[in-house]
Amino acid sequence: MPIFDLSYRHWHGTPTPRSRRFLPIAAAGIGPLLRRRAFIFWLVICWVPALVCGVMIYLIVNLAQTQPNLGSSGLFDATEDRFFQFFVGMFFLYLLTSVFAGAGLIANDRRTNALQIYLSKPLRPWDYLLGKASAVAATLGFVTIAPPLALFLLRAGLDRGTTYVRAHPLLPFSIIAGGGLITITLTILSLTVSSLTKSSRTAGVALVMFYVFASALHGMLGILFGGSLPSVLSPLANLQQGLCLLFGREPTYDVSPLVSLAALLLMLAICVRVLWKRVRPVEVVV
Amino acid sequence: MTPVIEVIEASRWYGQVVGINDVSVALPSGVTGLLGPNGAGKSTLLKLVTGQIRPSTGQVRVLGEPIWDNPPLMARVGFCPEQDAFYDQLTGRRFLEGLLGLHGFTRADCRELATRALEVVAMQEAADRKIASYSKGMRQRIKVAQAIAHDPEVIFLDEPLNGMDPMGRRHTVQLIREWGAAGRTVVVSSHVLHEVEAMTPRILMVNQGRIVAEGDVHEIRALIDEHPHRILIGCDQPRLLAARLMDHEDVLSVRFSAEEGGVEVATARPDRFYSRLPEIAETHGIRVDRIFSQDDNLQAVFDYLVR
Repeated sequence: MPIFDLSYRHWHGTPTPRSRRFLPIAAAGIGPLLRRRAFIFWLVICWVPALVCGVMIYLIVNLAQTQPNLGSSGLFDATEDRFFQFFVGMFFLYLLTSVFAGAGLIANDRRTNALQIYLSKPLRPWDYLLGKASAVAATLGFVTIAPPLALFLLRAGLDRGTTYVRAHPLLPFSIIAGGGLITITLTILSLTVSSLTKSSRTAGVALVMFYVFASALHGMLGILFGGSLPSVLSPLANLQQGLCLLFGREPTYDVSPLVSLAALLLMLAICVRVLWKRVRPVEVVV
Repeated sequence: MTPVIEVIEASRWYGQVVGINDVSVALPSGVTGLLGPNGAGKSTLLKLVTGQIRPSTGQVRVLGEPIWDNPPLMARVGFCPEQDAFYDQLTGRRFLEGLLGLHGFTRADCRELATRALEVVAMQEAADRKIASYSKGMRQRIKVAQAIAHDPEVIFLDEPLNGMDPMGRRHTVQLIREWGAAGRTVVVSSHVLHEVEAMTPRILMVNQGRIVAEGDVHEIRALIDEHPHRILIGCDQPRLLAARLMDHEDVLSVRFSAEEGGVEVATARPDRFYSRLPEIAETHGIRVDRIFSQDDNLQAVFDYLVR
C-alpha cells in the first residue's frame, strides 16, 4: 500500500459567524487608505473647518460676558442654522473624500480579477458590498458626522449648565442623521461608479463629472423651464433639501423635501441594482 | 460510488451563443482532468461547477448540494482561477491570510493555515516578498496555495501548470496526485494532454459545449497514436535532415515548409522519433533551433476523434 506524504493537518477550529464575513473586506479597504500619507493629510484638511468653528465657539462662550453681540456677528454659534451651513459648506470636501476613498475600491478588484477569488470563498456578493460600503462609510463618517458632533459636544461642554443642550435637544440627532444621509448617499454613488470601470482614476473622474453634470443639468433645466423641480435630478440638491428637513429650515428649493428625498432614494435604489449586477465573479458579456 | 460533482442536463447560453449544451456528468472523488481546446466550453463548465455562473437550465451539485449561491458550501471548495487575481503590493503571505479571513478563521489561525499552505506549495522562502516580484510560476503556486489553504474537500484548478518551470510542474503534479490519493476530489482543466496524463488517467473531454469523451486517457492516446503525428523541425540544414530521417521506417513523409523554415515530418511512432532526433542532429552536425508538434494541441485530438 503506498504511503503518501500529505504534509497537511486538518484544521479543527470554529469559524467566526457568517454575519461578520464582511469585516476582512472592510479592513482590506480601509487599511491601504490609512497607509497613504496623502490621504491622512486630506483627512486633516477636512477637519480644519471644524477646528476653526471650534475656536469660534470657544470665543463666543468665553467672551459672551464682555461682548454680548459676538453670537450674532456671523461666528459659528452652534445653532441648527449654523450646522446646516456647516454641512452645505463642506459638500465639496465630502465629495472629494468619497472620490479618494471609494473610486478605486471595486474598480481595482475588477482590474485585478480579485472578485473571482473573493466570491469563490464563503462570501455572498452582499457581504462583499457591505464590506466595501463599510470602508467608504467609515472614512466618510470621519469627516461628515464626527466634526459637527465634536463641535456640538464642545459647545455643550463649554456650557456651565445644560442650557445649550436643553435649547437644542434634537440637534445631535439631526447631526447624526444629516451626516448619515450624506455618508450613505456618497458611499453608494462612489461604489456604483467604481463598479462600472476597471480603473480607479477613471472612476474618480467619472464620479466628479457625474456631480458636475447633474448639477449643471439641474441648473440648465431650471433656467429653461423655470421652477425648482429639476433640482430633484441633482443628488447634491436633494441632499441639501434633506438637510433642510432635518435641521428644521425652509427648503432651499421650491420642492417638498420629501419629494427630494424620494428622488434620492430612487437614485440610490438604481445604484444598488447596478452594484448587484456588477458584483459578479465572472463578467458575462453577451 | 456517490458522485461528488453532478452536472445534470445543464446548459448555459451567453445570449445566442451556447457555452455548454445539455451536459450531464457525474464525477467521483479523485483527480479528473478536464480537457478541451480553446472555446470548447471547458471554462464555462468549470465556472458552472465552481458556482461562478448559474446554469441557464439544469442543475449543478457539489457534495450533494447546489453550488450556485451557496456560500457555506464554498468553505468546502477550493478554486484556483486561470487568470491572475492579485494585489501586487501584497506579500504572498498577506494575500493568503486576507483570503483565509473571508472563511471566518481567527487571525492566528489565518497565519497558521497560510504558513502550512505556503509549505505545501514550496513558497516559504518567497512568502514575505511582494507578489509584484514573483515570477509567473510563483504566482501560479500562490494561486494554488489559496485554493488549498482552508483544507477543502473539492479542489478546482484551472490551467494550474501554465507558466511553471519544470520543477514547479513536477511538484504541482505530484501534489495533485497526492490530494487525489488522499480522497479529495480534484478537477484540473488543461488544454495540454500530456500534462493531464501525468496527473490522472481519468479525463473528461469537452468540445463545442458537449462532453465528447469520458474515461481513461490511455484509450484516447491509443486513438491518437493510430494517426500519423506531425512534427515541425526548424534547423540550419533541412535537406540533410530530411534525407537522414527518411532512412527510418516510422517516418511516413517529409515535407519542406518554406513559410515555417524547416521540415515537417509525419511519423507513426512519435515517442521513438523524439528519442532518435537528438542523435541524428548530433551525428550530422545539424543545428536544430525548434521543434513543434502540431498534434500536441487538443484541437488535433478532436480532429482525430471526429474524423
